[in-house]
Amino acid sequence: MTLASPAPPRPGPLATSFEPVPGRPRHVPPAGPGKGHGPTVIPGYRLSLGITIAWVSLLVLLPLAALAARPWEHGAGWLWHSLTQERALAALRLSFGTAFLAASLCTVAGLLLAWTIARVRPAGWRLLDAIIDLPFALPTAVAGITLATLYGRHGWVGAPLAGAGIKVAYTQAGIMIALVFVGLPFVVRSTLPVLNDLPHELEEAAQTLGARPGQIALRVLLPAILPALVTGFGLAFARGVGEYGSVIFIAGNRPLVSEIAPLLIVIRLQQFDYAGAAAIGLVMLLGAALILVALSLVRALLPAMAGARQPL
Amino acid sequence: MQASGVELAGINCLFGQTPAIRDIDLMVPKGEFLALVGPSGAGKTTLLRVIAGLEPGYTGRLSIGTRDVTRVPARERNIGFVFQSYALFGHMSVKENVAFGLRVRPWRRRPARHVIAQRVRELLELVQVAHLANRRPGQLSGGQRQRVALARALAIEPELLLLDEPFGALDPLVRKDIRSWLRGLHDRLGLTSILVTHDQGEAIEVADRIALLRDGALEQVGTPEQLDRHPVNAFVHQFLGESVRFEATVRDGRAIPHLLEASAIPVALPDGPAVISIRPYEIGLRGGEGAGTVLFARRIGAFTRYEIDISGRVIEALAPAIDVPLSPGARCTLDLSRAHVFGVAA
Repeated sequence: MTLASPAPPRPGPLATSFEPVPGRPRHVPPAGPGKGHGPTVIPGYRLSLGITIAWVSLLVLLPLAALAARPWEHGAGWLWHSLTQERALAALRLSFGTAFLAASLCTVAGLLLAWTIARVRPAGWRLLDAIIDLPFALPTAVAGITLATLYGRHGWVGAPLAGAGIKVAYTQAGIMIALVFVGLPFVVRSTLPVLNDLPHELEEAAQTLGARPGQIALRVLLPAILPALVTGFGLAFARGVGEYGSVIFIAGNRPLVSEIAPLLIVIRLQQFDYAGAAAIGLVMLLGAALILVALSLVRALLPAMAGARQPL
Repeated sequence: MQASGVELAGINCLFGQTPAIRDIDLMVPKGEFLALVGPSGAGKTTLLRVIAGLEPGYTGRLSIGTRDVTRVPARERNIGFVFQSYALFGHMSVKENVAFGLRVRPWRRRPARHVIAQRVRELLELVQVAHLANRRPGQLSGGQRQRVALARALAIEPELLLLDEPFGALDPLVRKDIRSWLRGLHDRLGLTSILVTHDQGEAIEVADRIALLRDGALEQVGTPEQLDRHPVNAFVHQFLGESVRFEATVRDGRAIPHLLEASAIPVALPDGPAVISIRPYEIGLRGGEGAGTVLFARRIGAFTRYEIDISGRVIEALAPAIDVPLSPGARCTLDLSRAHVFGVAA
């Protein structure tokens, strides 16, 4: 189960999303004939809006509503009991915690990678650019088995690490590796286009104004790409919370230690505890939704996003 | 504000194997407004970037004021640069954009917070956008952005102001306005400024001197009047205004235009091929007999505009409207005595 459902796209200028900007008389579109929402360049405004709403309802909201309704069948007390079991709490903590850490790691590493591709342009950067997407294409189970083999006690990486006393496979570190593996492309893909579009003149202007390289990076470049980084972090995080296939092979799946929440759901399903499985699912859904909403709020408050709603 | 001159000596700059800037020697005295003009691809912007330190691979010697800055990085050259795209920082307010150059100074040279705020206020008033201090660049019009970019460049009290086609993106009316305002500002602040433009009219209007570039090399440097009166070659003459060009041959101290033998003019050039270049309004027209046939005549304000056919080639001429007009179909002779004649090196 992946909770990385993207925010529903907003079609055209919905009545709620269109607020005139004070003190800015330009670009106020004249009301279109018989629309009531202002003009739009997309033909079939009502049709496209209808399809969007139907799509979101049928494929996103309906299943989520079913999920939300399921765990209550034995009553709220039972639901509370089912969720506060030590094993469930540990699994949820592990899933959200490792996803958060892994997404943070992905953000740093992804920014470096995107920067290298966009600005350093090493020989073969096109190949690098293509390779980054591979974790998207690989079945997650294949990735999981590969990582488990590689980092296992006899693996190419695991053996030297084991010699140094570091155990990766079948620990939380192993989960992190799997999550970073699947999460990295999200950060690179959301950051790279923004970096590519960032005009060089910004850096040059900062240079002529006396800024040192560190100041240019922190005060000029980072704020400009921060919204994209936050988006990438959010996507990597959401993917990490719901990631299953690549994790279970390397995690070892010891209850209370390295058992992730999605696995616990599967285990409960196998025990015909459908309500118990749905309960965990519901918590994961709410948690991920909360975090995604919070991130989109953070994004909207970033300095780079101020005035972004206005066309240039 | 301390304004100092700029001196370029033997500046060369390569783009890969192709020379973008060739052997430029140029001296801009303190307080001058110099316009760097030339057709597109002539290397104007490259030269400006060399002066600013944004084009690292050049040879030669460059000094600003009394300081040799040839090896000094851009951030230590103390230059104000206004980019064609303005390059404002989109995530900062107008105020923060202007303050940027002061805020990034090492703390020993950084003014106190309230001093910066005061200076930003003054600058925004100077460029007449004080009421926009809290806006974002994305919320400004082109003209307003330009003023903010200028204020930001002036905030660091530069010794030299470099402007790269700053009027390029503005509509013609705003352009004219901001141009004369900029010139006024230059004089008031005692700046030394170099303006890059491809518009010779702009250069003539605003600059003390014009430096004309072609293919990375300087063709001529001088006041607009010098360039107009004494162009060193046909290219300079043609670049500075509309002109009509005739191929000619010099024989016995007379330049004889092809197809227009009757319009020969005395010159002090050795025998050989030459080029005659003349402004349309300098051509004298006399009705009666002659090699030209009037195709078209229309009065436009103080002038009458003619199209004249000379053995199949159509040229344009402007004659004062108070002269007796020639009607289409009339024959005429052309008086080219006010033309510039340039020898063509064989």
